[in-house]
Order: sequence, then C-alpha cells, then structure tokens
Amino acid sequence: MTNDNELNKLEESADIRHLLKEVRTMSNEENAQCTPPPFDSLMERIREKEAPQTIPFPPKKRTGISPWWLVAACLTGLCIGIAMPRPWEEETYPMLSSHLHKDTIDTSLGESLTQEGFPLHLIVSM
Amino acid sequence: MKGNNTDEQLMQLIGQGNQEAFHQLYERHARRLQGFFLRMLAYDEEKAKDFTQELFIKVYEQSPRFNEGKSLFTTWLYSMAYNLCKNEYRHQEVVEAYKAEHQLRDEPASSQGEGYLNTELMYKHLRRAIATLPAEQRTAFTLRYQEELPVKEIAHILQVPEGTIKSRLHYALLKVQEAMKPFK
Repeated sequence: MTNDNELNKLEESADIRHLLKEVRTMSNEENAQCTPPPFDSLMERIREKEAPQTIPFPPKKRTGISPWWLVAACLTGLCIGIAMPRPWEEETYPMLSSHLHKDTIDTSLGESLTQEGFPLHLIVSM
Repeated sequence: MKGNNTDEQLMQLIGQGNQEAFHQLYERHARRLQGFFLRMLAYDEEKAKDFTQELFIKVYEQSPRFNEGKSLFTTWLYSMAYNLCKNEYRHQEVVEAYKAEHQLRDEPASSQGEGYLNTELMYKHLRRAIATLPAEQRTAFTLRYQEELPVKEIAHILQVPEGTIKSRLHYALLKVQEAMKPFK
C-alpha cells in the first residue's frame, strides 16, 4: 500500500502538477459544454412518476359474457339432450334397453350381452 | 428565497416540499454532475443527460431522508451518482465501447511539428489515458482530480479506506503520466 508521502511527492512534482492542471482545464471545458435537461422537464418526469400513486386504479373492464349466460346455455343444452328421442338405444341393443327399463336387472342380462360379443371381461377387470 | 443557502439547507427545504429550493439546487449542480456522468459513461451525451435527470429525481424523492447518515451533501450526491454508474457498468461494457470508438491514430505528437501542441489532440490522448485505467483507479482519479473531491469524501463514496484511495490515485497518476509522455 502506498503511503501518503509517496502520493504527495508525486502530486507535487512539476510534471504531474502540469498534467493535473490540464486535466482540470479539460474537465471545466467539458462541464461548460454540458447542457442539462431543463428543470421543467425534470419536474414533469417527477410528476409522471408520482402520478400512479395518487390516481386510483381504473375500474376493471367487464368481460363480454356473463357467467349466468353460460349457466343458462348449459341448462338449455341439457334440456334439449333429455328431450331428444334416442332411437339407437332401441335398435342396436334391444335386449339391453328392455332390461334397463326394468327396475331390477336379472341374471340373463350377462348371458345375452356375451352372446352379442359385448366386452364384458373388460368391465369385470375394472 | 435567498441564493446563498447551503446545499444542506436547500435539502431541508426540499424535504418540506419547496420546489424553488429544488430548482436552485438543480441549477447549482446539474451541469457539474452531467460532466461527471459524461466522463464516467464513455462520453455518451444522451446517457449523461438521462443519468442527470435520474439522479435529481432520486434527490427529490429521497430528500426527506437526507442526512440520516449525517453526511455532506456532495458526498451523498456523488454516492448516488456513482451507484447509478456502477449499475450501468453491470449492464454494459461502456468502457470497452469507448475504447473501440475512440481508437486514436498512432500518430506521435512529434509529427505535429516542433513546438506545436494540438490541445484537442492532447485532450483526446488524455481522455483515452484516463479511460484505459482500471475501473477502480479511473473512478478515484475522476473523483479526485476532475471533480476535485477530498480523499476522505472519496473513501466514503467508494466505501473503502483512505489508504486504498491514495494507493489507487498513485498508480493512476503514474499510468496517466506514462501515457502522456509524448506530449511533454
């Protein structure tokens, strides 16, 4: 670490004194050429920065579709689905549908399904 | 308002919301600080302007908390200015950009003719000599010999012991002296 004397000695040498004089002159010239931004524009920026803190948040925009409309649409779809006739149930699986209409399912159901090639083993394995 | 208020008195008034005091402080220091930014940011004028504004916005915002650390206004101001530059250094290699942009022709001073000293060329060499110093030495050099701050204040700004600042200054001076030999 350099001690104080070494720096002082260096600063006092004629060469460095001349050099530092040039450095100061150059810096003063640079400072003189500087044109800081006008004070008004500075204050404007300060006001802009402060503005979000004082102005309340803008109200949230309402979404286009109300959730109640979605509920109504779902209910309508459900009603239509229930009301629609299902002819395929009668034609494709006459035996199955006849059994399902009953309150209880009898044992012959399994046999009839097996006869039709229904993958009953998959349901059992589940 | 009186024009002979000290910086510390003006800061107190700014803390109380006095805009005129802020105007006065800005007029007093803006040019000098812009010069500091100019030198620290590789002579990028636009950036120096932006940084000057940014600094004074900070001064305004932090004025109510000024002197909690009981420091001089200039120390406080230059500490903030230096921190802004430090953040910038982290993002961009400004010094390298400066070196690349300001590569001087390898023209010795003697070729200018006997007794002839081109001041502009000398300043160009001087800027280059300072810019090529290691960052720590360059900062100490700028604060001491261009901003003319005392070593004690510089030590406070850079948060290093005074001895370290003196050491950096010593080596910086030797390097600049060596670089400026052709202009003797």
